[in-house]
Amino acid sequence: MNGRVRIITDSVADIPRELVAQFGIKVVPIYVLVGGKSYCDNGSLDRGWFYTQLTQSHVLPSTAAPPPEEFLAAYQELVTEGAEEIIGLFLSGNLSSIDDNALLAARQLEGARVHIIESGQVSMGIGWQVIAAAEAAAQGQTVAEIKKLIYSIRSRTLVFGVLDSLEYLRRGGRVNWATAWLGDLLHIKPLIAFESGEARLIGRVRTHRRALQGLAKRMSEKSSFERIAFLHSCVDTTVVDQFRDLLRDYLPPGPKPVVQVTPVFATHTGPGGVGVAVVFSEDVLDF
Amino acid sequence: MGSNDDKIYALEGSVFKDMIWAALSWLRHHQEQINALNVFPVPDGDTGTNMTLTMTSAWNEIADLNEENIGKVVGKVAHGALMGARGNSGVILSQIWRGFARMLDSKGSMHAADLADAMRGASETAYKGVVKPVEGTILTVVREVSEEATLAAQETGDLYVMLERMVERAKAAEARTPSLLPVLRQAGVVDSGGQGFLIILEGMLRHLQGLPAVDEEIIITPEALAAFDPHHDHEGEIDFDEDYPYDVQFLIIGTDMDVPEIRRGIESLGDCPLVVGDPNIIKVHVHVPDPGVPISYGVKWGSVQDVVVEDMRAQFQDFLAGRQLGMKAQPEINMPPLVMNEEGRLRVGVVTVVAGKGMEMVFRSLGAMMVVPGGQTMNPSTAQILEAVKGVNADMVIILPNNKNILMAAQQAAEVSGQHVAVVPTRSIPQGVAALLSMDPDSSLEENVAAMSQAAFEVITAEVTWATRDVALNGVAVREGDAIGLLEGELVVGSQSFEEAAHWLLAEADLTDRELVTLYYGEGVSQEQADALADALSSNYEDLEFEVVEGLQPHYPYIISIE
Repeated sequence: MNGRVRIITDSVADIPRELVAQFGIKVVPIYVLVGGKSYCDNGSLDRGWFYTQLTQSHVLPSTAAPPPEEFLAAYQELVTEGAEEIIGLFLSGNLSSIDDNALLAARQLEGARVHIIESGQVSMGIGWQVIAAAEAAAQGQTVAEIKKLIYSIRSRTLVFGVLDSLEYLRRGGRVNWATAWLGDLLHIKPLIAFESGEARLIGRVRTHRRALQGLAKRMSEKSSFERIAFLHSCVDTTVVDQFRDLLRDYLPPGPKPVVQVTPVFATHTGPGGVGVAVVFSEDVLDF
Repeated sequence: MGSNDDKIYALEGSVFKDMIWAALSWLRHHQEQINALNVFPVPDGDTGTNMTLTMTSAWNEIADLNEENIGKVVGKVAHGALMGARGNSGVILSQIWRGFARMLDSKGSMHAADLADAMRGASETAYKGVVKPVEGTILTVVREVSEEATLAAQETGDLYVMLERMVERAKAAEARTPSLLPVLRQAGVVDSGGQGFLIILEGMLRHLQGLPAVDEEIIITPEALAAFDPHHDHEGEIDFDEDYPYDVQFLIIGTDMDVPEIRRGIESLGDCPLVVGDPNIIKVHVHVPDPGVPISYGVKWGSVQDVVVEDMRAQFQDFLAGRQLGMKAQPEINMPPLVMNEEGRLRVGVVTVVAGKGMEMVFRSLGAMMVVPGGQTMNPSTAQILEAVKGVNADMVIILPNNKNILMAAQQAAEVSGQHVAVVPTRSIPQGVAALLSMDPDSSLEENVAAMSQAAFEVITAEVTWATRDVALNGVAVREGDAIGLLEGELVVGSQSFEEAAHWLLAEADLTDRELVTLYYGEGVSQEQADALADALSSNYEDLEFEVVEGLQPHYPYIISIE
C-alpha cells in the first residue's frame, strides 16, 4: 500500500478502520471540545459519555480543526513512506476551516506535491470519495485520472438522513437554510440532504417510520446505488436494520458499512439521527 | 293561502327581485327548523344557517338594483350566491343559481319555457358540481323540480301554476329523501339541503300569492320567541355599524297591535330591524344609537318585557382581543421565513381554514400564509376563502379546508381563482397538519397536491365532542350533552366524560404501525387535564409516543391525530 500516490483525509470521513487499513488511507483526527476540554477524535473518546454531554450540558461540544503543523506532520509521514503525490479530501470547506489548515501545511511540505480537493461532503460522503481514490491509486492510476474519478463520484454522492430535531444544527449555527418550514409547536423531524457542502431541508415528518419510508422512496426513485453506507448518531441498531430492510431491493454489492458518525458530526446532528451516504450510478445534483 | 286570479305569463326583473326577498325572508324564518335536520348529533355547520347566508349574499347583490331585465337580475343573484356560498349546501345552492342564470342570460323577461330551461340548467349544474352525486339530497329535489317544470311548461303558460306545481313536487321529493338515503332514515330526518331549497321555492311562490314575506298569521308562543335568536346567522362573527352600537331586543305584549305599522316604526329607528309576531305579541330586535328610544316606542303599544340590551362595541373589543381571529396575516404571530422565488414572490402559499388560536399558531408555524377562521360550526364563504387566496403573493396557492363541509366552498374559490390555485381536500385538522408538513416548495402544484393528499390520507383522525341531541346511529345510542367520540368522522362511542371517550377512540382505532399520537386540546380543557389524559393513555399504549398541543379549538375538547 505504500504507493507513489497516497490519499489523506480527516476523521470526519468516518471511514471504518478495516477499510482505512486495507487502502493505506491517512486519517488526521479532528478535535472535539467537551466541557472546556479538548479531545482528539481518534476513537479514544467514549461515545456514550459524549452523547450524555451532548444532551445534558448547557454548552454544546464544539469542534476544532487541527493546526497546520499536524497536517504537515501527517504529510511528512506519507513522504517518508515513499509518497510523491498526496491527494487530500477533507470535510467540506463550507462547513469548517479544516481544508484551509490542510492547504497552509501543503505549502510548507517538501518532497511531495499535495492536491487538495474540495469534497463537498461530510462523513462517508467524503469516505466513499477517499476509498475510490485509494482503490484507483492502488491500481496505479495517475493523479489526473484519480482527480477525474473523484469529481465524478462527488457529483453522484449524497448524504442524507433524518434528525430527531433541528435543535443541534440550529445551535451550531449551520442552519440558516432550514429554519423555514419547521415549526416549534409540534415535534418535527427534519429530513436533510448534504450536497455541495450545503445542508438542505428536504422534508418534514413526525414519525421515524415515515421518515425512513420517505428517504427510501426518494433514494430509490433517483437512480441505482453504486455504494452505500448507513450512518447514525446514537440510535438503536434496529432502526438502521429497518432502514436497510426498506432498501433491500436496491442495495449494491460490496461493503455496506454501518457507521456511528464521529462526535464531530454528531455535535451538529444531535443524537437520534439516521441516514445514508450514497454514491448513485448517475448524477444527482438536482436532488 | 289564497290563489292568485291573474295569470302570470311573464316575469320581469323587479318582480323576480321581490321573489328573492320573499324567498330569503321565508328561509330565515325556517332557518332553525332546517338546522335541526342534522344527521350527526355534533356541533355542526348548520345547513339552514349556511343556505340563509348564501341567499343573503345573493340578495345583497340586487338589494339596490332597479332593473327590469330578468337575465341581469338573476345573473347578479347567481354571482352573490357564488361569492357568499358557505358550507356544502350553500355551494350547491350557488350552483343551482349559476345554472339557472346561465339559461336566462340574454332574456329580458321569463316565460314558462324559460323557467323550465332555467330549472334544467340549475339541476344539471348542481349535479356537475358534486364529485359523487348522492340521491336523497338537495340534488334529488332540484332534479325532480326541474322535471316538473318541464312537464308543467308543456301544459300551461302560467308561471304561477308552474311554480305551484314545482313546490308540490319539491315537497313530495323532499318527503322521499329518507327512503333514498339510509343515513337520513337512521337519524329520523329529511334532507336539510332539500328542505332549504323547498323553502326558497315556497317563499317565491308566497310572493306571487300576495302573502307577506314572513308569515305573521302563525301563532308564536313567548317561549318560541325567546328561543329565536336573530344573531344565530352571524355565528362567530360580530359585525356592527358604529352608528348603531346598541343591540336591543324585547317583547311587546298587547292587543290588536298593528304589526306592519310597528315594523315601519322600528325600521325608522335603527339598523338591522326585525319585527315578528302577531297582534298580541311581538318580538322586536334592532340596532340603535340609544337603547331607550325603541323601548319607549314599544311602550306606546303595549307592555314591554324581556328587554335585552347589549353594547356591541364591548363585544367587538372581545372580538379584537382575539377570541375570534381576523383573516389577515397577523404579524405578532411568529411566522417562519418563507421560500421565495427570484422576484421575491412565494413559490407556494398555503391558505388554511382553522378555528382556535392554538390551531392557528400550529398552522402558521408550519408555513401557512393565510388563516381563514372557521370550522365545523362556522363555515367560511367562497368569498372569504377567495380573499385569503388573493392575499397570498405566491406563484402557487394551496387551500386546506380541514373540514368536509368547507371542501366545496374551497373548491369553488379555487375554480374562480384560476390555474395556479388548488385544493388539497383535507377533512380534519390532523389531515391538514399532515398535508402541510409534506408540502415541498420546490415541487409543482400537481406534485404537491398528490403528495399532500397522500399524507393527509395516511393520518387517522379522532375527535371528542358532545352530542347536540339524542340519537342512535351506527349502533351507538347517545343522549344530548353526552361526550361522544368520532373516528374518521363516524360516531363510534358515547361516554360520560371526554377523557373516557378519548380512551375508547384509541381502543377502536387500528394502531398497527402507528407511532405518534398528538392531542390537540380545545377550549375549556386545561393543559393539566390534557397532560393527565396523555399520561393515562401512554401507560395503556407503551409503544406509542404522546404529544400534547394547545389547540383552543371550540366545540372539540380533543382532536386526536394518530400517525
